[in-house]
Amino acid sequence: MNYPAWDVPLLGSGGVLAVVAIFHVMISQFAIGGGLYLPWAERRARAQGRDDWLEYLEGYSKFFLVLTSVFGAVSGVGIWVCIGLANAEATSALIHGFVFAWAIEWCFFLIELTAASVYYSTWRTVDARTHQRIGWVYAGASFLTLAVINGILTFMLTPGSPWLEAAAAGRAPDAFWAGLFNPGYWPSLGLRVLVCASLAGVWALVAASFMDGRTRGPLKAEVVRWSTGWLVPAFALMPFFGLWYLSTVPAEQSELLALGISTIGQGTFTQVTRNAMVVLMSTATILATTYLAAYLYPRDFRPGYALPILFLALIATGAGEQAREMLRKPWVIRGYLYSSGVHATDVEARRAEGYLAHSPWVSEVEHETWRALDEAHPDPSTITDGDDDEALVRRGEMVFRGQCLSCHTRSGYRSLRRLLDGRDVEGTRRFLALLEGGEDSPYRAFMPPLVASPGEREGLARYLARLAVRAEPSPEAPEEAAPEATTKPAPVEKYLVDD
Amino acid sequence: MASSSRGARPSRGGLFAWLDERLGLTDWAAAGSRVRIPDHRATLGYHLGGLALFFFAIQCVTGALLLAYYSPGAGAYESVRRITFDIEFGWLVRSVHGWAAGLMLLCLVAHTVSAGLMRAYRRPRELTWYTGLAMLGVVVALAFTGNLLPQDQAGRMAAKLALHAPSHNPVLGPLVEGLLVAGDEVGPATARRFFVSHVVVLPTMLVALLVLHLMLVLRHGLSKPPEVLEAPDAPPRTIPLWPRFLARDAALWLVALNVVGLLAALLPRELGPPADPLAPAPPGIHLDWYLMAPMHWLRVTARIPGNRGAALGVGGLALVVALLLAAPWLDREGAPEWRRKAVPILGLLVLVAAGVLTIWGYLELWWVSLP
Repeated sequence: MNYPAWDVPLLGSGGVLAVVAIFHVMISQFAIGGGLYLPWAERRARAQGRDDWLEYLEGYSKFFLVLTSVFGAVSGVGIWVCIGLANAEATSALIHGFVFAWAIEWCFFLIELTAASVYYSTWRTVDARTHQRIGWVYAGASFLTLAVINGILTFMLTPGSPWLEAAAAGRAPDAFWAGLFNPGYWPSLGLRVLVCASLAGVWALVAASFMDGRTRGPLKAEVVRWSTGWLVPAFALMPFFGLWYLSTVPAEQSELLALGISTIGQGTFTQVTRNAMVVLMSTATILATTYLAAYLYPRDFRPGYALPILFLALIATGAGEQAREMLRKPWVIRGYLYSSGVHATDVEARRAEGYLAHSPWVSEVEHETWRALDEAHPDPSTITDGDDDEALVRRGEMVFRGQCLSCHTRSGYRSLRRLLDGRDVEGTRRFLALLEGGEDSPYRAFMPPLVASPGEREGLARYLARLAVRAEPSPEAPEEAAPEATTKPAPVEKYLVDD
Repeated sequence: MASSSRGARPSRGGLFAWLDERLGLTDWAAAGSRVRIPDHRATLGYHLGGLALFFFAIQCVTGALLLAYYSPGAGAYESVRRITFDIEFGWLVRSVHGWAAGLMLLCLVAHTVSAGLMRAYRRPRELTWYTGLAMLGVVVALAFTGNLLPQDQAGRMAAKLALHAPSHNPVLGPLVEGLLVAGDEVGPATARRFFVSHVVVLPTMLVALLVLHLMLVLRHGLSKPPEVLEAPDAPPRTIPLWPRFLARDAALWLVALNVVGLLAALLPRELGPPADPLAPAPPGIHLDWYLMAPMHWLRVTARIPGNRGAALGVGGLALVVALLLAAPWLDREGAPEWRRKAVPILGLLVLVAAGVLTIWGYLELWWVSLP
């Protein structure tokens, strides 16, 4: 535990990251697709000598510039702030593993930002050919930012055996190219390019819907129809790339996708299946609604139709990105780094010496107290003294902050109070034993192994049992829930009284 | 339908021509394009009824699927538990059924409000208005009876709460107890009656009312809002029912289907502990949102001591029903101007009161739930 924990009540650190990331992905993928849309439309308009199109595109490029470079860039920085706080260990691993990739991505990004500003401001000041070229420079630079970042994003789920072997031998930087062009790279790049093109179409439809259909009817009809064409590649090719992508997902991870078909139990893991369903459904709806409302009756296409389509695109993007993140559990970098920030190779050593042994966030006095407790009580479950119990609970809370908070909150998103369902100390002890257990443990497919010394584990069990106590105890003692009972109905949330 | 044109058309081969000759598809399309829908600022209001109809179609499909696995009677809770946690996509069907029910009610309430504000209840559309109101009542009953079917504690307590309300009324009390509760206590016998109502009686009534309602809509056309009617020099723009209005409808239905799917995926219907007559009521027990306003009205007026409170409670609800029923008569041609204007104003007041009561009710629940 080398870094402080980011303790965000209710939403959780992951929740904050998700909110920022979904908006960022919406805008940044539009920046790439729209970067192709604008010069392409310009080329078409110039070839056909359409001044009304050029005038419209100039206005649209202003909207594009403001949205992508201001909101896109700011939310991108927001993601860096969030991942650094939410999972510092993973951020560090990604920075160290891909120094060159980040550096070149920033170069492309600077070219992209500059080209966008120049493209917008030179519509009437440079000759047509130069302006067109600036547009293509923008399109190329923005695509290259995607090409790099896609390598790092897919690396986390499918690092590939060459990289993992090199990393195990301590030579991770040597396997840079193998890590970047990992097994998931190409199908994911294909999927993302299709999404970028669709988003270019969707955003262009939103902008065109504000045109007055009565005074600028013919132009509006043309712009709307041409923009719907940008959704066609996605319609035709997405199933192919989607299946290719799924075939690269490791078997244990794709099992998660099947789990949620029959049940809504098992905590939040079945959410992956439901997210996949939302992605499929909203994508199909976007295409069908675009045909019915935009392509058939382009002059009548008003913001009232365009904005729901944009909303559906936001849903599809958000659900897809969240499913991708959840599919990776229990890893941040599969086979290398757990989502709790513990390296796979460190598990045994950290269990032996204690998860908190080298934590700079624990005072020397506390280290001393815990050491003394460990020596006095080889079996920490026998501790009954009030002060010692408090020290144990405090120790447990530190482990909680280090290993649980990156995915859970106390009583908000993935609430532990709800998931623990009123377990007492004996119940939380048994639950933690399952988390620490071997490969046959039902939780091991989705949750990282618990890394704690016996004293730390007992502290965590006591801390969790305190957390699990409901504000208003029910008249009957809460029944001990068997952890295997996956079909047990979840508690009805509206009767739970949270703090 | 102009069937005389059939002979004039050249006979073409192909599936469409085969079907067209037998079903008269081209004639239907021509008839659909002659039905004109006014196109103005409030056009969205015209889609609400169709949207509710779409949700009803979802209810029929998912309801039939649920019936395949649901067993009424003693095994009810276990069968719903299997649907939710064991059967493939059972959770999805059940969640969609639950969410679409709420959205259908929401659409119907909005449809009623929008029709009321357009004063669409006036001559000659009185019966359209009454069949609409009757359907709203049937759908509320459908939602209410469906709630008890899983036989979980929350559903049982909600049914008990609602069925208890009229128990002190000398007329309604025995009627409710004899017909619905079927015994001293809300229990398996009640659930059986609710089941029969939910899957046979109420849907049949709804379909009959629906057919009548649609026939009346086609006969009288759609009502236009007053400001459109009062500008006779500018004839309102219209669009044909087929294909333009229905294309819009289809797009809207797809979006609605997505909203239902999204709600089912993010907030799937959970299942609480089974009904237990000996267990204490869980804290914060309440009826669903659509019954919150009348329920809270009764609760608030009951705080007035003596019989006056109860009289005010029941009387207030009766007045609202009377206003809805009397609207076409109050706002009829030749009636004094103040009386015609009073209807929409009173309607708005009832709407605001219902909103306030609903929010107030939920706030009180939240207040009580605080430790």
